[in-house]
Parts: sequence; C-alpha cells; structure tokens
Amino acid sequence: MERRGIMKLANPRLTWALALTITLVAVAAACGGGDSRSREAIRGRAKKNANAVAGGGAETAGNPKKIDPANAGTISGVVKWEGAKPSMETIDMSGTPECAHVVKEMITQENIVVNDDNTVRFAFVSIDTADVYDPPSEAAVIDQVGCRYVPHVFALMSGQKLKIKSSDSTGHNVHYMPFGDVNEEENFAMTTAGTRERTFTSNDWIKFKCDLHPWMGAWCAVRTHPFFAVTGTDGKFTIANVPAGTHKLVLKHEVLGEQSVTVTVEAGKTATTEFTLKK
Amino acid sequence: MSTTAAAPATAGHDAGHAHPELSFLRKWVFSTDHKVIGIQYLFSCIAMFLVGGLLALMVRWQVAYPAGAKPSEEKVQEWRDQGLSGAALNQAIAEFDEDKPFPILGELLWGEKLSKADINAGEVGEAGLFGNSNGMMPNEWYNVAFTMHASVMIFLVIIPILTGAFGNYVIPLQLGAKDMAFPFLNGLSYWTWFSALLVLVASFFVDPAGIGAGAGWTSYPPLSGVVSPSAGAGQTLWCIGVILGGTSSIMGSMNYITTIVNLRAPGLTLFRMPLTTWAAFITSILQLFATPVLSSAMAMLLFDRHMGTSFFLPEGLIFSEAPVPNAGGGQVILWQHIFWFYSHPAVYIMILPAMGIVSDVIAVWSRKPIFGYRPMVFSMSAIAGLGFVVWGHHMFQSGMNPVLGTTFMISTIMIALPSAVKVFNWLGTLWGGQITFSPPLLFALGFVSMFVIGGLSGIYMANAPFDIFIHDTYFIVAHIHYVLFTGSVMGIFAGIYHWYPKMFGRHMSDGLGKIHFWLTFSFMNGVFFPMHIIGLGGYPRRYASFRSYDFLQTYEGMNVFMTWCAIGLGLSQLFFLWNFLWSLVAGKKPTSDNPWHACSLEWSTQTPPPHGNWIGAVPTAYHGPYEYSHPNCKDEFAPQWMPMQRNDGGGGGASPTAPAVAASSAPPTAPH
Amino acid sequence: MQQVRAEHFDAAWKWWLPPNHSSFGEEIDLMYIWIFWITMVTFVVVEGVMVYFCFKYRRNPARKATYIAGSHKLEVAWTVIPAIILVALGVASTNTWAKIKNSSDPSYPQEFQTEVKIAAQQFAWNVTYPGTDRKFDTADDFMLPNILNVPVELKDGAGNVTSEENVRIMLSSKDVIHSLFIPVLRVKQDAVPGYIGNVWFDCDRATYAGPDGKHLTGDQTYSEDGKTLLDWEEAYEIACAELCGLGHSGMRMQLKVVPRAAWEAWVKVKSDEAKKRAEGG
Repeated sequence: MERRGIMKLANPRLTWALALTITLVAVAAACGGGDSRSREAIRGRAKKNANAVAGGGAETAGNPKKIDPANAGTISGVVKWEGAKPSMETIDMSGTPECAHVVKEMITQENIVVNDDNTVRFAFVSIDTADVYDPPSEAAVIDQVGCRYVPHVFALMSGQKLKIKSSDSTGHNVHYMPFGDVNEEENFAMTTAGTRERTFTSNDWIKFKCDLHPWMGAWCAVRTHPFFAVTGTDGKFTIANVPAGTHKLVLKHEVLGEQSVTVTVEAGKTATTEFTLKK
Repeated sequence: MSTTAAAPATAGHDAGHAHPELSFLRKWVFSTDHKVIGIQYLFSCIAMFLVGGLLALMVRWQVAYPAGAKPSEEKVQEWRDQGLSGAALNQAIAEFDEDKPFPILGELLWGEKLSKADINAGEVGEAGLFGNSNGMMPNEWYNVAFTMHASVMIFLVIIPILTGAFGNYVIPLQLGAKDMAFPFLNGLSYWTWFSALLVLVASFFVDPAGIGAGAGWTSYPPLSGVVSPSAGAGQTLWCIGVILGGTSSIMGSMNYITTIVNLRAPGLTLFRMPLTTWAAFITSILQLFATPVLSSAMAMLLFDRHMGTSFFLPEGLIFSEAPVPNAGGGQVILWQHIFWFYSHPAVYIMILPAMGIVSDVIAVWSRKPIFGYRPMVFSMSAIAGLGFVVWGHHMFQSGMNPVLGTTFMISTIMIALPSAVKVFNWLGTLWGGQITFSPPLLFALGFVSMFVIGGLSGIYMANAPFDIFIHDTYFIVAHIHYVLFTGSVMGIFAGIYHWYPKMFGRHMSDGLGKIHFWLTFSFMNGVFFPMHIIGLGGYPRRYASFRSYDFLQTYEGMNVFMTWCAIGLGLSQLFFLWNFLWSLVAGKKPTSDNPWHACSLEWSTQTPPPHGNWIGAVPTAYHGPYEYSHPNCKDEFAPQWMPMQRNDGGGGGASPTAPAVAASSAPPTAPH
Repeated sequence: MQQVRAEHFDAAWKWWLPPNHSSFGEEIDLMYIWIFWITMVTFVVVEGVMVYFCFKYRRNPARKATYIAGSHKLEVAWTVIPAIILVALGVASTNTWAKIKNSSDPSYPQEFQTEVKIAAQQFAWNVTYPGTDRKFDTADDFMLPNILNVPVELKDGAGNVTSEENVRIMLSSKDVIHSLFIPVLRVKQDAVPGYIGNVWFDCDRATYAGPDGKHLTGDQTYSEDGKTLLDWEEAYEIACAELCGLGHSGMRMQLKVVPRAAWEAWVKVKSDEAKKRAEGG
C-alpha cells in the first residue's frame, strides 16, 4: 500500500512554454524598457531647460557642411560686467589634505569670475545654427588638478574626442549630467591619475562635477558646428570663419543665464559686438 | 517528443510496473525525477560556485591591489641614496608604478595597462570589454563584483545546492518515497531557478556603461531604488532574478513539506527521520514563510524604480542635482525591515540543511547514534523560530528606535543557545565513537570547528553597543564567511563526498578528498580569520580602496596576505573539481549498495537508485536512523529497513528501540 | 599622503581596537573585553574537546563504539549555563546602549555645548555650523564640506580635556543611506534620507597640533584670521560605513578637536564671511 500525492497539473508542455515566455518577457522588459524613461524623469527639470539651452538642438540630416573661408568673416567682442564685483565663496580644502597640499593659496569658486578690467571670464558664446560640420581630429581636454577642474568652462564639437584627465593622485569621480536628451549621464571613478575618453553626439550643455569634492564643478558646451568661443581673462572672444550672413549670437553663462544679439557677418570682415552682464 | 511526454511521468510508480522509455529530453533535461533534478541542481550550482568564486577573487584582488600605489618611504630613501633629488626624485615618484591589474582578465575587461609615464602624459590605451581604466577595476565595477559574488553564492549556490540538490536527491530516498509529492512542480522549480540564473548572469551585460547590479546584495534603497548611473538596467535584472529565484524556492519548499508530511515510508514516524530530512523540513517551512516577503519587497523595489511608486523613497530625495519626481511618503527603513525579515531567516536556510547533513555524516563515520536526537530537532526548530524575531540586529545603526534595539539584542543573543546545543551534541556524538577520518567526516568536523568561530563571533555582533563599532566593518564579513563558507560550504562538501557513491555509483578518490580538505581548511582560515582583525581595527566593508584613509594603510600587508590565501583557496577547489568529474567516469565502483554501512533508508536501494527509487515496494522503517554500535544488536549497525537482530537471537520486537510496527501513528520511541 | 600620524600608526591598533577617546567608548571596549574572554575560553574548550575526541576515539578495530544516545542532564546543563552567561551579557549592555542611542533615557546627555548639522550626499559630508550666534537658519551659518571641527576646554599641554563637552550632530542625507563612522570615538550612525538622526559624542583630548607633533596648549595664541586651524595636520578620520555608490571608499571627513579659543576665532572668521555673502557683497 503506497500513499501518493502526485498532483496532475495542467498540460506540462503548455506550462513549460508559459514559464519560458514569462521569463523572456521579464528579461526583455528589463533590458529594453523603463530604464531610460526613469532616468529622464529624474532629470525632468533639467531636460525642460535643455531644449531652450541647446538652441533647438535638432540634428540636420545629410552630409556635414564644409567651411568656405572665401565666404566667411569673423565675429569678435567682449563681455562686460556692470556693477560691484561679486565676492565668490572661498574653498576650504583643509578637510582634503591631498588637495590642500597641491593648492597652497586661498582659492575661490569660479561661478562668476570678473576680471580686473571689469570683463567676465567663462562666458560661452556661439552662433545659433542647426548646421553640422565635421569635428576636428584633435581632442578637447579637461583636467582635474588640485581638486579643481581646469578649465572651468570649455566647449567642443559633437563627435570630437574629449580627454578627461586627472593629474591628481587622490581619487575623483567624474559625474557629468547632460541637460540635453541625447547624451547619456555618466558617473565613473578615477581613483588615480589617468585619462578617459568620451564623445558627445549632440548639442548640449553639460555639468561636470566630482561628488567627492563638492566644490569641483565645470561646464561643457557641445555644438555641431565650430562657431563658438569661451571668454578668457580679458573677457574677449573671437569666432573665426563664420559663414557670411546674419546670425543670432547667443551668450550663455552658468549663473547669469542667456542673452542673444543679431550679428551680420560679411565675407573677409570682422563684425564686433558686446554683451553686458550684471547680477 | 515522444508520446509519453503528455502523460505524468510518475504514472508508472506502482510496484512492479514497467516504465515506458522516455525521450532523452524528458529524461535528462525536463525531467520530473527528483534524482535527475537534484543532479541538475548539483551541476549548475558547482558551475555557479566557480563563477562566484572568480568574482570573490576579483574582489579580493581589488582590495589588496587598488590603483594608486605609492612608493614607500624606504623606497624614496633608496632613491635618495642613489643620488636622486629635486626634479629627478619627483619624477621617479611620479612614475613609480606598482598598480597590478587582475591577472589576465584585468586588461581584457578594462583596457590596456599603460606605464605611469604614459598615463601622466595623458595617453589613452586600447579599451577593454567593459571600458577603459588602464586595466584596473573601476570602483563602480568593484561594487558589481561584490554584489554579484554575494548574490551568486547565496541565490545560485548555497541555497539551491542545499535545498535543491541535496533536498531533492536525499529527501525522498531517506523517506522511502518513490518521488516527490509534486514531481512536475519539482521540475518547474528547477527551470524557474535556471531562468533566475540566466537573468542574474545577464545583469552583467545589459548596461551600456558596463555596470551591473552594484548596490550590494542587500540592495538598500534609495541607492537601488532610483534609476541612476550606479543602479541601471543591471539592478532591474537583479530584482527580477531574485524574484524568479524566490518563486523557485517557494515551489520547492511546498513540495518538500508535502512530501515529508505525506510520503514517509511505513513505520517512518517524524522522529525516525534522519536529521538531514528534519533539517530540510524545517528549512522548507522557513522558506515558505520568508520568501514571499522577499519577493514582494523586490516587486515594490521594481515599482519604485520603474512605475513611479515610492514605497521606499522619502520626500526630498536629490539625485544628480535633480529631485526624484516620484519620491515622497516612502520609508527607507521599511525596506530594511522587509528585506531582513527574509534575509535573516535566509541565513538559517543556508545553514540548517548543512547542519542536518553534518549530523548524518558524523553519526555514520563515528559509528555512533546522534547524541541527543530530539534536542537536535528541537534546537533546529528553535533556531528557525527565533530566526524570525532577530532581523533587527542588522539594523542597530540604521536609526531604528533604540528600544527595539534592546529587544532585538536579547532575542539575537538567545539564538546562540540552540546553536551551542547543536555543537555540544556533535561533540557528544564523537564521544566514544569509532572515528574514521574519511573526506566526508573531515569536512563535517571542519564544519563543526569553524561553525564555532562563526557562532561565537556572532555574539560580538549581537551585542548592540559593541556592534556600534564593528557594524559594517570587515568583522561582519568574517562572521558571515565563517558561517557560510567554512560552515555551509564545508557541509556541502561533506554531503557530496558522502552521497557521491549513491548518486553516481562510483567512489570519489579519498586521497584527493583529503588533500582538498586540508588545503581548503588552511586557506579559508587564512582568508577569513584576518578579517576579524582588520574589522576590529575599524576597516569598513565594501571599500574599493583603502588608500584614501590613513588609518587603513597599516592593513595593506594583511589584505595582500588574505588575497593570496583566497587564490590558494580557489586553486584548491581544482582538486575537488577534478576528483568530482574524473570519478564520474573512472571512480571505483562500490562493492555494495551500502558502502558506508549506514542505517538510513537511502542506502537500502540500488546504487545508483533506479527510476522510482525502489524496485518493488518501498522499504519499511523499523526503528530510528542512527542505530550504530547498539549493545544489544548482533551486527555493528542496524539498518532502518530491517528489524534489529538481537545478540540473543531474538527478533526486532523486543528491541529497546522501537517495536517493528508499520503504523506511523505509533508513539515514536527514540533511543533515549 | 599626509604626514604620518604617530597615533594612527600605533602598532597595537593593527591587532586590536583603535585607541578610544570618548566616554562611552570605554564602556563599549569593556563590553568587548568581556565578550572576548568568554568566547576565547569557549572556543578553546570546544575545539580542545573536539581535537581530543578525534585523537582518542580514532578508528580502532579492537574496540566497539560506545552506544550513547544522549543525556538529559548534559543537555540541560549546556543549555542553562550559556543562557545565564548570554542573558547577563545582554542585560549588562542595555545601559550603555541606551546612553548612546536612546534620547528618552535618563542617562542620555541633557546638554550639548556644540551642535552641528551634517547632510550627507554622494559622496561628501556637508557640515553646517550655526555660526557665532549658535542658532541655525540665520545669516551667519556656514557650510563646509568634509570638515568637522569641534571645541574642547584644555586642561594641560598634553591635549587632555577639563570637562565633558558634548557635541550633537543632527544627521541627515540628501540621496542614499550613508553612515557616519568615527573609529576613535566609537561612533556609528546611519544617515537616512527623510529622517534626522541624532548622534552625540564627547572627546577626551584635542587632536595633535602642527607638523612638529607638539600638543596644543590652552594659552597658545591664534591668528585672528582663523588660519591656524587650516595649517593643522592632525585630525581623526571619519569614514562612511554604509555602501553609497562608487565613491563610497573616498567619502572621508576629518575631525579636528580644537581648543575652544581657537575654535571660536575660526568660527568668527567663517561666520563673518558668510554674513558678508548673505548681504550680497
């Protein structure tokens, strides 16, 4: 006499098939779905701004344009500051001796840098066009030195290589947060000196930060064309080889927002313009 | 597929009924025979054991050799003595290069290793499979490595090999059952588990940045609960994999409980069951109650990640400088309560079956009845019961109400008692025995001696004030490995060496087994014991690099030592692997169906057992499973399936143990 | 790397607990010593008995194994004795636990001479000081990443402290769970988002001063710009003890325990800066 508790389930073949399907669907859902949606949702606020920032941002299909020097002029100008000089927060690195040892002098944040001649450094100026040009073969470089990003604001073309370098022996993580829709946010550690290469593929305005050293920040502008510049210690910018015609010239500053003017460029000539920023 | 496929495979279990021949696929792949399924689990788990072990080695390598090695003061002095100074000395320091990528795999996965001079010059080498970080494991991947090491070892090795492989293979045989109660469910359970395996392995490869699940096996939200660069598609797959694994566990445990309650052989009362089966019974009850909680937690986590709920996300969360839109109203600590409500019992799910196996092995190899059979059963039940009310000790520092901390401290301390009782009973079993140091017994003794360390270090962790200091340090890493590696894994090896002849009809090599034991035993202590010491120094766990902290520099040497012991430990397993595989084809064949002269029912059938386990009727159990060296018994041992032959020539009826009755309702009379 | 800190490289630390500088830390260490000896004795006895049995009862064909199926007395003995020891250990540690963690317990400190807020984030500690007015949410509050400076009154030149001064940290997190771990003070508390946790500690000595390795003294003078503090090399390290992502192992903060005069000079400098910024300078 044998007791048996064998339960007759439904058709085994059917059940196997069902189990397999559920698994495959689950895998597919995880791989394909959801993920990017949520990531966008987190950055929803930023994304909305991004469309405005990126100047339309639409990629034009078709072949990249070529610069025609014969039919091009230059835009140059200066970004001026109005009002009292703002005082920037000093960075206290005493909690991070590795950095404090590299940077001996007292340093300040670079959110608004007003030069001695009342011009503004680190303003990004570019013409507003959807045209696409070939990127240069040489790479753009951003370095991490003494727990700071050098330079604080930089620009490169889409498709151009960006070398993200660390000259510090202390560890950093590079966390870049694109405001646009196409480039992916990334966060990776650089525990020691080294170089990583990345490429961005679309118009963007990207914040770089090191989460280990919260004062470290940098801004990166990406354009599909080469007609941009970042102001230096004299507040001046020069954009060469701009196709002749009327352009909208846009200034972007990380704190002070955006301004634009219309500039008409004649072949072989230099058009000058001026921006004024205030708090 | 053959026509038999649609018919229940167990239809032929009636005594004497000839089995129709099954197709290869139905017989060996989608089988419903508990022995085949058990062996499928065994092979899959051994394969995953190698994967988990490789991940462990990668973790250890990173811990010992993180990027950024700097020249020692002696080295600098040496350069000075060689006449270097100023710029030349600085350059020597800048170009000092002792970074060691993980052998072979390092450069394959993380790109070419450049010289320090090239790195400083801004050179970029060839990229590897997972990106380019000069061949050194990046921190983000280190997190993946230890997360997946734990997940693989827990969900794909220890739990399935104990409950799936041994549970499946041994339970019906020890019960005298022809198969599991639900053979089809049994097969389904294996294949569900197998899909969990595929999904978890896939989690390594789905993220474009090459990052799998990296939030730790505990996956505390918000780190795991928000889609971010550190918890992308890999984390999602991890959750799905764990749910699938849990589903398999639930199916398995229902099956074991039903089988044990309903399918015992005539005369096999509950208190005549061997302790392996008792342990499987108690473990299954634990699994059945705890696993659904884990699965629901994982489902909630998935909803938080992808469907906009906020079970675990409180208001005001900021990720990547932007507020998380669905956050609000959730409780971070809720996850920890739910998770540990499963995962603390899970620790016992991982140790109880090994305790059962070890009890059987010690009794057989020291030719003694288990000392205190009933206290053994009661202490296992106590561990299981208390296991449900101690989860809070994982959360002493989590901000949980400190009054609860006191409560959980007391309940946690109490769980040391049944564990201690078990250890004392094992010692009692050895007492006065005839101990043969075969590989199974060596591993069982290894289990007992090392479980003592794991148990005692638990008292440090249970003490809430001292836990303030050692919480989340290497001390807990030492503790968990003493329980799970030097405990459970030793038990697993004991079980494999013990039942191998029954499973495959061949003997494993004793010599290789002993080499395997001694190497494993030495190296594992070399790996895990120093973890107590660095934990005591405050070395936090899950650190990709000790280089940022002054107070950790002093442990570099110990880290290197542990890593090389880990490599030795890994290599020692090759002896096992060779022994296991080679013996399948070339092992000595056992001379009898009961080569160890053991008493429990699995040894009463052929070796290996046929489909249906017994040709003809199932055996009857006449007494308890541990009648070794009984003073009144004619033979050295009295198998369960035969009435005891008395010295004075009498039958089993007058035995001081149990009367030879078949009714399972008769009051059991264990021999004490 | 920074200068070698003699105390941190104390050889004893390598094999034992780090030096302790808080009052409740002593109780914790005492608890540890008790458990250490109890477990050591148990360990030696159990392993000893096992090895002895293995040797004595190794296979010997001349002998038959003794049939011992159990002993009620022994079972009771080895259940009750450990139970008493374990319960005693548990009861003995409840007071320490309550004193450290339970703010409604009478032994929990009633007064805090210094209060700071720490908001953890991936992967830094943002420390907010209340400024000279000792009140939060005022214009002179200032925030510094990864810098925790707390004051003590000095008794002598060896850095010893006159009286207990309790520091309270209001601990929160912006993103994931972190854990504030100060090994030398035996402090550990998770920073949980959505919840403000209280941590307190006292410290029985100031951190070392300066590369010359001499201790600070109470009457040492400090420059008004508060820069002296920046120049200090010595500090206790604070680690993150709960996995928080890829920067977990770099989330380091420094704790400087500073004589009160120096601390106040430093706070004033920082507060004034903050006020100036708040006024839109």
